[in-house]
Amino acid sequence: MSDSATRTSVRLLVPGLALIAAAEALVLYSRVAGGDTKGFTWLVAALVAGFSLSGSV
Amino acid sequence: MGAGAVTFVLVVLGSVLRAPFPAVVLQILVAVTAVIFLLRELDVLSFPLLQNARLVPQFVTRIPFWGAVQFGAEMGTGMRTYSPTGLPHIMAVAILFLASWEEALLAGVGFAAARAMMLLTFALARDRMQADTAFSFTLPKMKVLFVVLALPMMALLVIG
Repeated sequence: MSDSATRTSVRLLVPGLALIAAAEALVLYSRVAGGDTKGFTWLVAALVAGFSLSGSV
Repeated sequence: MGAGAVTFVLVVLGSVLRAPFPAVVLQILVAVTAVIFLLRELDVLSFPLLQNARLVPQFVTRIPFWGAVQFGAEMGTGMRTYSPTGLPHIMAVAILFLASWEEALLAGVGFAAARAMMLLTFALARDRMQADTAFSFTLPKMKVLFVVLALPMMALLVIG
């Protein structure tokens, strides 16, 4: 695969990865701040697992 | 819908399986499972994943209404697919042994949202071939990134 094709395909994945990273940062920040993140942690963990499966239909 | 059905079954089954054990045993069990599967993601360990390894059939798209339901259920569960990763397996074990009803429901929502993100990316992509390349070839190369993303979440799930 050429460099430009790789760049384009990575660009397509960026929004999903950014959303996951932002949600995860929110969980970790809330946790450090002493908030109750338990339910949201399950949601974000499943988001990571589900997105890692994305190549499969 | 599919992910919700799977998490429902896991919690029902889990509520029976986890009954004889103290919470710490279940936490250790999930932690060990997570470590084993994360090491597999890093190619330190090698073993086949438990999976159905069959694609969602093309003909479901031609069945009015129920075709969409079947496609949604099979996509949502991720159960009828070739799985390139063991991360969903870790989630399944974690839900089985640690999740409450509410947490399992949220995990189902998260999993379904992730599956929907893929379809949305396909729908929004100007070039479908590029989207196909992104998910079929580029994403599997990001295993280490997904391990880095999964690790803190798994730790939080285990320590509660």
